[in-house]
Amino acid sequence: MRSLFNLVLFLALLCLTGCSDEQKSAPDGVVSLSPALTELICHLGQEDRLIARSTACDCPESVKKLPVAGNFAEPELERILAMKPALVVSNEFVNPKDADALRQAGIAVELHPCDDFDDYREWVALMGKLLDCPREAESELKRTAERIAGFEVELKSSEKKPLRALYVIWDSPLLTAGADSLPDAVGHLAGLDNIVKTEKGYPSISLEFVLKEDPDVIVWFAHGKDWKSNPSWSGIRSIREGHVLIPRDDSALLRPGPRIFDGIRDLKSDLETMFADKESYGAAQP
Amino acid sequence: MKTARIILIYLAAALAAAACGVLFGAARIPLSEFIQDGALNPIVELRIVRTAAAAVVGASLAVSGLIFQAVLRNSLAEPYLLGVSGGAGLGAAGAILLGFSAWGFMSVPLFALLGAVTANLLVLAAVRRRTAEELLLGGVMIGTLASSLLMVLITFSHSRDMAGVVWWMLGSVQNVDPARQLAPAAVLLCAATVFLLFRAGDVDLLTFGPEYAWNHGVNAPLMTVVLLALASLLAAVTVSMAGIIGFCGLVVPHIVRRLHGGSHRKILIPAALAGAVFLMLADILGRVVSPVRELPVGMVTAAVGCPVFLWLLNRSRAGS
Amino acid sequence: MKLTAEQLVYTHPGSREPLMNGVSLEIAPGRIAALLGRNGSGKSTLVRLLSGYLNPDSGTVMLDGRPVSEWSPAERVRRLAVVQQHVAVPLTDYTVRETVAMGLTGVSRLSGSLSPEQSERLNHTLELLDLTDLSGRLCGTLSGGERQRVFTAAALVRSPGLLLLDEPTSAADPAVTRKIVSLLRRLAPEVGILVVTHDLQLALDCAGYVMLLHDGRIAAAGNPSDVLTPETLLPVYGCPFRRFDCGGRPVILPE
Repeated sequence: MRSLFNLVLFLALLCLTGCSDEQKSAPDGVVSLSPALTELICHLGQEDRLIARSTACDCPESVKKLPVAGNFAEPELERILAMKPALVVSNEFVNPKDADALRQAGIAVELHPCDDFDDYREWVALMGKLLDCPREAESELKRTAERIAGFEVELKSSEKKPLRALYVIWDSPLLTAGADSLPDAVGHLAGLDNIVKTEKGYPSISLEFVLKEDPDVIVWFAHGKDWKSNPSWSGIRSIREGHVLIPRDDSALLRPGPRIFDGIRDLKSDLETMFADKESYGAAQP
Repeated sequence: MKTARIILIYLAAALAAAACGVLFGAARIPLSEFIQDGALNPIVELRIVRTAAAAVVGASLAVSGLIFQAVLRNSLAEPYLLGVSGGAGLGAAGAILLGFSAWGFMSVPLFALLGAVTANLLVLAAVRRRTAEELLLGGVMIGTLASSLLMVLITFSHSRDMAGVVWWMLGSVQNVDPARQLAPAAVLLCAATVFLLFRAGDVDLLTFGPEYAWNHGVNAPLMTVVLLALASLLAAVTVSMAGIIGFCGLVVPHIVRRLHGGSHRKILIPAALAGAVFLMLADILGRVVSPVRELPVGMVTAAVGCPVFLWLLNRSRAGS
Repeated sequence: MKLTAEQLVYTHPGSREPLMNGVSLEIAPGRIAALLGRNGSGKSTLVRLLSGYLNPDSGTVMLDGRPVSEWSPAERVRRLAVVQQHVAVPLTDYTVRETVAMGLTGVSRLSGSLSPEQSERLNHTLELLDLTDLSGRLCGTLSGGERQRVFTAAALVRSPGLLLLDEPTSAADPAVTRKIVSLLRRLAPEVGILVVTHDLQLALDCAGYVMLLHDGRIAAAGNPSDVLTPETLLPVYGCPFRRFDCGGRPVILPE
């Protein structure tokens, strides 16, 4: 009798674990409201799980065919509910009330910041679990560590003095990237030294400060804005000397996604070209 | 006090504020370094331009507010009331978000000016009976419509462009082109001031209502539109070069009126100079408080203007 | 110098019934005319039509043989002065002297200074309306009756040929009313005066000609003693009146 009971219990447990196993299996409908996360999902080979994206998700090219389900901060609730996804991922800007509404409908919601390399690594690990692709996540983590280490080795071995740089996010008013920002980290790996050290985030700074700090190069993220025609900038040496670098693809540098290391590589080689005949970037450290 | 004496005092204050504006800033520069290698230190040059811009913007807003309050007979009237802020915001946002800003530095200011003037003309054209109340309501309606359209544009925009629009609207005198923005604005300010000095009697009479003005020889319906259009144009030009700067156009005319009485012939130039002083000081304060960060000057004007005004309000109530 | 209105028709925007339906009248120096009518009969609107502030739907207002709207504002007000019943309180206060001086035309535009002649006129007008002692006071600190005198002075200061007064004594005490009546009588030989009022006694005391505005028309006009009778007033006001003789001075009162 007892053994029969054990058998029944065992079968029941098996059934239960079987059920939970089935629930745990990778969700098929994923909505990503963050361009970086969209790129990451595709990079991990899980693109076919995506069913909707945000207005800003434009890479890889193939995701543009997906329907739009809101922007990074505002999910379009009705549309998402109608799609019946299993998982919605985005950054922390999403209104918690919207997230609760989705969770109440039985949809898993993951909202975490994705602002720097550490955030990126956490997301990679999390995605590996959520999308049931631990092997791909593992190899991406490894690649990330290798690439960062590679840049750092290059930095250490380089005898070049780092260029003092200003990152322009917007030109009027002047918005820049502060000490803890992604452009700051990216620029550091490319051999740049941010002139903004005390302010964090993306502060609006005074031109007088820029004139005083006299940066060697300006990295221009103000997409589509013309750096030559602003008269109040003419006093800045790097503007006069034409040392304004417009990244080939600024989305690769401003998005903590899988393309960021190629972006840094491009930035670095563009800087080397720009300062090839200049002493400042080529000169040995004193 | 004699009008000339009052003007001299305000002029002295304006010169002192201008001197401070050139001497103080984020960077500390000794006087000996003002001239470097026979040329003006670029930091000093920057300060001169932005101090002059603050003076012109402050004076324009004060004159504009003075006229608005007198003609609409409303102490809450301010320069941006008749569609100027909403129109300028929409114009600027349109230029930024639709990519016209790539055409060059002047494209955003020009679109802002265009938006402001269009919205203002729309208000003046859409309101048939141009009484103070109806103009106010019309201005609020067109302004709300423009803000809603702005929201629509922002909703469809890239997040970084959105930040640009918001920052642009906060107002700053840092990015002003001396030749293409400051000089025309200064010319407009001078022309408007001279015109208004000649018409100050009409403005005085309009404060008693349009019928009273009509009965004392003012073509009230025409002058109402001319004065409001001129005041809005002054405001629109300042918005196009420095964004929306609150409080200056609201508070400065009040203060000057309370101190020196109601005759516009007497208070027009003091109000202009007081506006210049107010904004120059607000700009200096914004620069000195943080050496790196740029505080939006509109925030400083509100932070300073609000308590000063409340104090003055209560003081004169108690006195009367 | 005279002001003539012919067949004025006027409807308020948004209203269906015309407020004025064929009003004709004439104001000329030599006599004081009074316009009487019930509340809401359109007396103040008629003043606005006569001053050109409102345009009639049809009919004409001629000032010195020319439509009132065709005069330049400065030329018009030199001939025709209007004292409104209600004047908006300005945002900031002016002194009595400043307010009356605003009534002068041809004040130097830039400096605002007065010629000696203008100063003399100003002082004379302040004297006429007993305002000399108040001349330094701010208008906001005055009583309603005092303010009314200030605005009357501002209209009289430029010596107009025609004067329209809308309820000039509505806030005045009996002594001031008496003073204003005698002032108007003194002006009458040179100035054409129209007094708009609902005060029957004021009309009886000062007017040489009385018009009753009723249902958008001049219902009765003529000599005060002929027009202001219980028989003509009953249909206009809808209440009975009685007339007394008070030592040769007619007095009319509602029953």
